[in-house]
Amino acid sequence: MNYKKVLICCLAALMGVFFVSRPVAGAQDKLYDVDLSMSQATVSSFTAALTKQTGILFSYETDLESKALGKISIKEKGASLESILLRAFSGKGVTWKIVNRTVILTEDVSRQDNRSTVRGSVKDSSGEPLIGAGVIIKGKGTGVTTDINGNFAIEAEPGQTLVFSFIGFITQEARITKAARMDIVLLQDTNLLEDVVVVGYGTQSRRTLTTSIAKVDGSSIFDAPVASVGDALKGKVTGVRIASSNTLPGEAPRFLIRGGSSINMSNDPVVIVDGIQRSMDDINPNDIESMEVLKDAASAGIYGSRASNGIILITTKKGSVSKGPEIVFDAQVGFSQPSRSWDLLNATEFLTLVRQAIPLGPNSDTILNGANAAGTGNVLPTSMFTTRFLGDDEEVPAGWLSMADPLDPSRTLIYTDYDAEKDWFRTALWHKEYIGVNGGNDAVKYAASASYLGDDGIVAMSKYKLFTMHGNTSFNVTKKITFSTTFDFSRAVKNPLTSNYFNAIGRGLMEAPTHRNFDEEGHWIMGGTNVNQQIASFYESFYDREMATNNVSANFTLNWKIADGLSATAQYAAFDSNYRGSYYARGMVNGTRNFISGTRSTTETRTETLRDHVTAYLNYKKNWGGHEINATAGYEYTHWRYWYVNATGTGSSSDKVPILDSATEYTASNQDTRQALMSGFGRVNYDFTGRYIFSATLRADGSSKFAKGKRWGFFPTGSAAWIVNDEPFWRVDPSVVNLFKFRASYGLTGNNGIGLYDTYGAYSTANSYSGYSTTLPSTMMNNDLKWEKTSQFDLGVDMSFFKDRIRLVLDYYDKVTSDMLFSITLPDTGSFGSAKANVGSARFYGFEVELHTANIQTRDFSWDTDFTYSFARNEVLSLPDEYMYDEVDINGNPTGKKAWRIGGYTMSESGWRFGGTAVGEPLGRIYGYKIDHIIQTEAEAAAALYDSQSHGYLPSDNLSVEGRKAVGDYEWMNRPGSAKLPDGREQINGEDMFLLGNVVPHSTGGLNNTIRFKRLTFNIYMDYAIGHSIYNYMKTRFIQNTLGNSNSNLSHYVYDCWKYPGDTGAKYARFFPNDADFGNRNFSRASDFNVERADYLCLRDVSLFYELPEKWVKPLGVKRVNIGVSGNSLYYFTAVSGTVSPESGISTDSSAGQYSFVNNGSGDGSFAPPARKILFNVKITF
Amino acid sequence: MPADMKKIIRFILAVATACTLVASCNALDIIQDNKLSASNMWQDENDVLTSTYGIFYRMRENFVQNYVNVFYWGEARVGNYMWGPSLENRVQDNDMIAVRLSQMNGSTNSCSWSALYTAIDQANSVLKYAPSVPMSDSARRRAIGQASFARAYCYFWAARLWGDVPLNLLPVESTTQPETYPVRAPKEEVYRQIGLDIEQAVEYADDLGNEKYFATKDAVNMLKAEYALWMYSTQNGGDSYLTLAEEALDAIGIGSSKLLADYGKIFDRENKKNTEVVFALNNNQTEKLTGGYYWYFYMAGANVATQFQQNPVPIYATQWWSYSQQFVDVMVASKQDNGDSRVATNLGMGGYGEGDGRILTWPNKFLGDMSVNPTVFDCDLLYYRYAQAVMMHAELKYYQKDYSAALKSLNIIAKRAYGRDNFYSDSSRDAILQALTDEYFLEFPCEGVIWWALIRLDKIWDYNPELADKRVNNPNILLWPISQSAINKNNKLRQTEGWS
Repeated sequence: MNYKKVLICCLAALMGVFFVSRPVAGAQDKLYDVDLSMSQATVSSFTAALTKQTGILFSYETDLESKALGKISIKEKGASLESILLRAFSGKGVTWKIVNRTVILTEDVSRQDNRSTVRGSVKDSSGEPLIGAGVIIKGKGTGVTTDINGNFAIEAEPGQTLVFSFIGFITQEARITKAARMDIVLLQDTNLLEDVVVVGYGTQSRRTLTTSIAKVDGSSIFDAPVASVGDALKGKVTGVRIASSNTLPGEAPRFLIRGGSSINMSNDPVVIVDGIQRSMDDINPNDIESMEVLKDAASAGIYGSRASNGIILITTKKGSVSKGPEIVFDAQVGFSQPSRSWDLLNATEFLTLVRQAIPLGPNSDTILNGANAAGTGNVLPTSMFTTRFLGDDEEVPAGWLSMADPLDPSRTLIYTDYDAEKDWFRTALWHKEYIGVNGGNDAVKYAASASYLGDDGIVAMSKYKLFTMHGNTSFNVTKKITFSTTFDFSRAVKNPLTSNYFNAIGRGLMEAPTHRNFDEEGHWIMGGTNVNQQIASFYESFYDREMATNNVSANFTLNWKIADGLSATAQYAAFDSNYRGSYYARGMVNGTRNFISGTRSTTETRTETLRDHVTAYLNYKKNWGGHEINATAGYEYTHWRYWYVNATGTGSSSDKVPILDSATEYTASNQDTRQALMSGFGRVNYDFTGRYIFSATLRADGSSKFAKGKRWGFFPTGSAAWIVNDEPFWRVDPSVVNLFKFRASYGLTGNNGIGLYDTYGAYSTANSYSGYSTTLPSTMMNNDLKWEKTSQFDLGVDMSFFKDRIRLVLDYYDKVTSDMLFSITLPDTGSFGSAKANVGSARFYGFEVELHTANIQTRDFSWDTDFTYSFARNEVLSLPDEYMYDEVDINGNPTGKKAWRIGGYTMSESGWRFGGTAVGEPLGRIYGYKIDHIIQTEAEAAAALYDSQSHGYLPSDNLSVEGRKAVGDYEWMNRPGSAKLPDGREQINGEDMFLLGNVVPHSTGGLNNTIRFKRLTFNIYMDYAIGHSIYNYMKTRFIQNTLGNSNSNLSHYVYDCWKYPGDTGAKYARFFPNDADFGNRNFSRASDFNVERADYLCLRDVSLFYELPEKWVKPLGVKRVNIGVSGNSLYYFTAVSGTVSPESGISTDSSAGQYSFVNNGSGDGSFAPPARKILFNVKITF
Repeated sequence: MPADMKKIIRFILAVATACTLVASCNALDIIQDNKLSASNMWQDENDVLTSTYGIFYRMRENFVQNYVNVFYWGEARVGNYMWGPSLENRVQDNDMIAVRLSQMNGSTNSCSWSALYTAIDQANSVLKYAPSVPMSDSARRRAIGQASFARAYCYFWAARLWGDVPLNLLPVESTTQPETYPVRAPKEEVYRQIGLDIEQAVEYADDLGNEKYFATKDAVNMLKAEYALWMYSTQNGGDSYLTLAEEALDAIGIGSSKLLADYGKIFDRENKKNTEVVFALNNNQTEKLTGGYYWYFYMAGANVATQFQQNPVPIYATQWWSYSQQFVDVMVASKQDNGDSRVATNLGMGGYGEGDGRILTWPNKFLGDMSVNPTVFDCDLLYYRYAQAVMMHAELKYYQKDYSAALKSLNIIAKRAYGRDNFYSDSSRDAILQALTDEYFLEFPCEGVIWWALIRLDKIWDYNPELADKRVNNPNILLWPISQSAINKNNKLRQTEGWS
């Protein structure tokens, strides 16, 4: 099937809806035969009948439709149009004209002599006037808003109904009586449980919800001091872990809903924005009407195949009549700065420490006298470092420092001081401007916005710009047919330096403080022996990189109220994401050649992801007696297409033309792939007396990624709720307990998150050998792949006390994923490192608590508290038999049981196994060496265990003897039954690793307090995560002193190292020059030195807002002005060292699972400090 | 209501029509046409031939690894007699030390066989599909012959290194076939299979072609001869293997004509595929095929005075390996005493150091592209050259106790080296053995040949006495441990006995 066909099919689906909508007939302007007799005609019934007989076309506004015309009887042959109209409408309050052969009917205004001015006021329950409340004549497009005193005046007729609305209050209707003045009191809509929740292909009242859905109201994230929606939600939604694995600007956090569903494949939920699957990173939080997180199977099940990891529904802002035409201008400006630091040594501290340490290692004379960071052999103009001895008659040069050489105080060292952390991490400007309009009338509603965000980035070369536009319009074409369209456009631009942040920034930070950045002519000086190690300005000057993404999404929706209770919706949505990556590496800048590579590499990358999406569904709602049924059935088709083209050129002779054209050698690659998903779905809700509510959904999904016969998956769910407090037997005073609801749900969801070639296999033809093309297998075929299925059981309680002053939502869930899509690591005796298969099962379980309390509620002062807590655990239930073995206990005695384990370690001696992924054990564990103690005496050192990673260098014999240990080294814990040396001695090697932590926290949540005093609003929010650890590789690097001859800098915690025999208070093992290459490697392995507990409490948001008094702003023609100051990610209370964020430690790649740990030296920028932002806000509403 | 019902029915019909329309497009039958998949692979001659080239691409990938290459596998374990850390900066990482001192364990990088098995797996694919894919007979014979050679060559390395190894003869294509989780087959079975594959390759030798970056008739015979000598001398194979070796060497033809007169030119990056080369794996910058173990021998720029950088001292990051002082002395003596012309190529030496003019040494063969700094490693790596045939012939004659014939072959090598006829004249058994040993050392340093020759000649114990000590505790001291990661990925594998 090709693309064209899809389009035709999509059109067919839409046309199918169109062609039944309204018949169209022929011509008039002539004489007609009419035979009509109606006793109680209305405009609609009469025109319909006449059109049927004569073909005359009418057009009128919907409010005229039911206008009574009384008795009409016309029996004529050859009557003119004018005479027919005269007989039908004359004197009945309807006037007409004929335009383009169509009769346009309008109400005869001249007859409306009943109109009068209705006056009144709108206030809240405390008597406070509601300013800007909407007052609309029901069924008309006209309305007004209340003034500064809450008063209104509107032209209306008695008998008409006025609708009063105000955001956050329950909308009220009142019929106009002769009494004229109407003083209305609106009740605050504090009852969250009465809220309407988007449930996927429809909405539902929260009170009758049977499933576990968390809702985030758009208003709560308006003005959030963040670039990405996810950042505003950390800790706020129970059951959802949101963590930034990559801290660079423009990088969105990752979501893990109830532990996900997979062991080693993606756990990321599916995000659906206005009906189409896409990312949420570029959606402006201000444009969001609401976000719903579908957590349990029964709620997510309507999305079937893609729902195992949970679903996030985002609904963008739609036009609103009640708001009236409103323009909001919002600006935030401020600065961001690193919230955490490595606290590196300055040059004096570095020289004092390192010069004294170098004699501990080999080649110390060469290093001390050589051209090294702490060596004195540096000469102008070539040396990278400045350290040298002051000459006999020499003065300390201007800008240089001096100190007595700690090794020979009679000589003076002179040097310069460079602060790498300041060079790479900076204070940056952050600003965001937003303008939005919103309004409408009965016929047309509109919402539109544009925004611009600029983040200069606290890390060198991490600028981020985001431009967004949003538009929504909806038209009530007739009383029964509504069309709506939504358009979103975004342009995001990043200018990062390279794809490997460790190579550049990681090594850059390690630059010795005595580094000389420029020679006397202003040329850059090489940063280090590793060519990637350069100072920030080198990268900034030599590398141009732009990564720009344009996203466009649009949808066109038709909603037709077919009959009472029955409506149909059809939607076509398209999402088009275009990426452009441009990269150029200059060969020469200001007379300095590019130290890293002189090939002038240019790369251009273009990708396009296009998704077409057709949805059509019917909704039926019926009430009778105490019964209510609400049913939905629909069809959905999604087609993805992905293009990729990449070209790289090198060999340009100059930097003058920094594009591919000037290159002399080229490589290029290209992809073009497609996939499709076809689905049918249905849902039935049944509500009996508002006390017993049942719901069932079924979805069938067919995915092109699976082979025939394995394509279709069926995902049924069921749920029920019981509102106990509405039972006659419930005797508790409703003012004490106003809601007590039990919920239970169970169902199946799926996951097809495999690659396009995992079923069909793939071969690579990209490589050549000696001029011959080669074909090599790249992905193993597995025709047996099928849907992964997750069954989930959820039990929940919703409670409200004291008229909603206290609300509590509790949930327990238990889900089991079976036929798990798994990336199996294969033995290394074939062509494939891994293959995808449906193997094994795992269980994810936990509970969630959401508590809201309105602690104080008075007219001038209120204090609200929100608290969330989520607990999540998991366990592997089964693995395939390829991984089965006969279990032995830790002493090597057979237990008689079978065990299953992928990867991990096997004890050479006992055969006992641990680590990896194993049945009965949790996911995400980090293994490493465990410190037993620090060796304090020579005797202890001599008796220490052989350590396979130790170089065993001792200055006393100037020898490196593998395995040997010295005083001050760590003695590692030895595991009984682990490998021994050939001579029978115990040793420390890979089998002596222990469980050091887990990459995923067991508990997450947040605590929010909002205090309002008159016009002031103060908000303080903290979020937390407990139970996870991070492999802080950078901590190792800032104590190792590597990069050649002790040229890398150190952090202040190096002072906590062991110093002398008997130093039992020392926190860490001894400091050794270039420990990794020449020392005993106390720090370079994963161990409980660098695997750190990452529990944290983050002071996430603090804000203070003030609404200016009306008397100040009214003269300016402005409705409201709010000013404020807010701070974001202000401080982390955590034990994690340095700049590393305690939220990191999982892969930044969204296609990877969140249960495998990464160390932060892996190049993705996760060691950059989280940005602390302080912003000033102005919000003006016109 | 009836009107409404009508509308409803019309709507449902419309939606149903639309859905059927969409469904009838067979929307889910998407075959990605921009990649070869299992559904369109192995259909024609091109699939088979490009897969055959792929075997050699994979083989090259194996041997250009940093810690896995002929140097680590076939020479570094000769030990301190020959090798050590840089004489300049005296550093080596634990893996290097472990191999030099035969102290490897499961986590030593050089114990990894994975890339060798990807080449074997690729050969297995060709051998599985080539017989049935419609194609010309000569192309089929060529593909089968190439794959048989490659599989035999790879298994020959594997069996010599680890003894018992997994013996997969079918490609790993699913998670459920026995080949996916293999056990270590007894080495006798492996050696038998190598013999069968060589036979197959010999049978198709005339269709192999003459491209030296792939199997040729001579390359197949080189492998056959080396295999036969190994089976005879180390596996108690019996005299029939000497016959096999003789067959192979006769087919190649022993004489001086195929030796390149200038020893230095054999390894020249600008003289690739020269007369002396029998089998090489290609490096070239155009296809971004660069790399090789010789970067270990190169100096850091910091140690070399600027004017000598790349002239003549090759520059890269760190010199991790260099000849031991003892072996430098051996070569210097050979040059001084006998005018050994090979030494200039095998040993670079001089006072090129920064500052105090310390003497730098490095193996001076296999030089990469030194027109840039640091060096680009684009020199071909040689796996068989004709001098090996001549030496194997001498070795064969030695086993056959035909010492005068052995002497004759040895003197072909000696003539080029020392420029003299009949350099060797003592035809006693001991003298021949010593001459064989000496010439292997002086002719083949850095080529991954010497370790195996010393084992065949049972001379390794003389040059690495520590091995003899270790043999007391570990009868498998000449084998290697398998990598722990291989064991972790496959429950059925057990560590080589005697190793941890």
